[in-house]
Amino acid sequence: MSTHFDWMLLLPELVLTAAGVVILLLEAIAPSLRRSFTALAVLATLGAGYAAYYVTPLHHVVASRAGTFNGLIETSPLTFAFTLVVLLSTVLSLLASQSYLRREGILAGEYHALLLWCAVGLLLMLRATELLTVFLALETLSLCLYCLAAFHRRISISSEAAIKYFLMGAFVSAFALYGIALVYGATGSTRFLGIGRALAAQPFTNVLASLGFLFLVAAFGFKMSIAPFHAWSPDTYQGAPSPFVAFLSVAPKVASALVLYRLLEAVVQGGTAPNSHKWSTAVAFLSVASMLVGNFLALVQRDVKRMLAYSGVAHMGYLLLALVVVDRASLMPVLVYLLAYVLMNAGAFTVVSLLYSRPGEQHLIADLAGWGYRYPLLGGCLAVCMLSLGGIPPTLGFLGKYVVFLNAVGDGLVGLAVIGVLASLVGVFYYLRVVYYLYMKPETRQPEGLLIDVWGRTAAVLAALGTLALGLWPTGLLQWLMQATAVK
Amino acid sequence: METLIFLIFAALAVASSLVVVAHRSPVYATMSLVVTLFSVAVLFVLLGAPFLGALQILIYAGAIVVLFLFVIMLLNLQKASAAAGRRGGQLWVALPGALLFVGMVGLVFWRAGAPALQPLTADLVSLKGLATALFSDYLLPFEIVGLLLLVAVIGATVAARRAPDGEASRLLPREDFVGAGDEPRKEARS
Repeated sequence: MSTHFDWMLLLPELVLTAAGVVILLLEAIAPSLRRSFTALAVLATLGAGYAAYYVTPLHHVVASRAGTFNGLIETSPLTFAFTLVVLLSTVLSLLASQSYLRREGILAGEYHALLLWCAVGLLLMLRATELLTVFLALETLSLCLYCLAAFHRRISISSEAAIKYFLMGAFVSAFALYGIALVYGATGSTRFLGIGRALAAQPFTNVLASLGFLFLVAAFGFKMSIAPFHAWSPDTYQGAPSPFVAFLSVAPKVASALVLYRLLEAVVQGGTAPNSHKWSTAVAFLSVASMLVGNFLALVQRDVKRMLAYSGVAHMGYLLLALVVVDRASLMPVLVYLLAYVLMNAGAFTVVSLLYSRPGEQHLIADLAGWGYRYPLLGGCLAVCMLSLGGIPPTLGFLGKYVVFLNAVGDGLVGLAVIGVLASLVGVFYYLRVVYYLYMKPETRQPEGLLIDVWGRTAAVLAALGTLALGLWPTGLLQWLMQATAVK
Repeated sequence: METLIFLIFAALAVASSLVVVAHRSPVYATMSLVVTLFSVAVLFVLLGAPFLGALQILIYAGAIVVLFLFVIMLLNLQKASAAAGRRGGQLWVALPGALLFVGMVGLVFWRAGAPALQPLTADLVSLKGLATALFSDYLLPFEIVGLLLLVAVIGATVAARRAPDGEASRLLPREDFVGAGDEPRKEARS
């Protein structure tokens, strides 16, 4: 029994939680300060990033300081890297939100507070080394997400998005909890390490644990919108506030990917566990299904948000390629891919939220026709993000795909890598269609009621520049991620 | 004797939870939920965890179900409306799915049997053991629950709040909205 609590380790989470509370109090006592909430929240997020840097032992090999919080959270270069990716998506979404909230007349502190608490849930989820902590963090995150999806109360499509997400999410939470119960019943532990050890010690296939893992994979597959569990994402993305979708479509997937990695690692930890290769097959199936379903359904979408939703399914398919053979080496491609996905997808949704003024209606791709010349900056950012999503070379999106496919080939999964490359070729078509409309079609729509502020532009430029710069000069990034993921 | 009690209450729990799902009147469904929760509380007591059993009755069967009843009364839900009750097509999809699921779970338990695990020792299940675990080993999850409750309260107010100004705010004063150019014309509006 440990009674040693090093609260400093929780500094990033504490900073974010406190900032959320402060913003809520300011909303109550000084609502005239609403315009400055974005700045405050962004500052808090940057502060949390610094706090994470401060508490992480970057230069020596420490997985978790044993004894603190009974070893329930991990503080390592690995969690630091994932933390930064989550915080990056939080900053981008916060920057993009201001103009949307003002335009729609729903600017309120609750939005920023809930978004910050989402980030708290995510940080706890990716640092947790134990399933109950993961579940509680997941619930904190999910509650915030449901409320934010319904934040635009006046338009019914937003409520519809939230209801769909909430009903399926609540169902999936029950699945996750049941899965945890079964795994605990089969292995006697809720810790990833303990589960791995118990599974390795059992000479026979443990059916009970397999069923539990199946539920857990389904639950995190839902959060990542992997193919058979993706049905919620197009409707939710379409109806929820666009700048929030910039967060919803990336950040939960980042933390879920790490949890999924830890789950699969626990399964294969024994090495000789007889059903570990079956999990490879299962993940490969999910990956291929996501790539096919995502890409082919994205082809026929006319609404840009739905298109991005289905393309997100495809992207998670590419990401899963790295997790078919789970070892420490698969973390680097996963991280590169997630970073690329955060930048390009959040950038795309930022521009979408700035250029479409009627959130209750469809966001037709055709409406963007010719706007690349009317809005050179935003159009350029959107084009860069689209090219990156398509995996065109000098961008980070290309690099992400490259390392994922390279890792798959290195694991001997040439067939899967070929399917991935072919699927991403299909993807290029619908991403390029957006660029085509932006620059090569005559204008069909006059801008009306748009509010493009400096915050939103900053987010779009940050995302596009990050995508380009890291794609052109990836050496530093790759070296740092290699170090971060190699430390065990 | 213990096995008999277990069988009775386990059967009661399953039967009453079926009623919860199947009954058309929400009030009946809620009342049979009380029976389910009470039966589960009895199972807790049989497992040697009387404190958990008491909590189950106090919080779930007491507070939460009463809340359900309040909501049902306030919303005046007498019966699920006829339109919502039509589930012909849905049934044909749901039934094979449910059977498949039950078969899979049943097969797993039948094949795997009960894993050989040590039962919890009495001092772990006791009130003191529970409190010690909660406030030392599992302090972090306990604190996360605190945040979770805060989020739930704020989230509920956000979700239940009236839309600001109803439809009127759709027609906002648009003086700082962009017309044709990229630049906002005026920045100041509160």
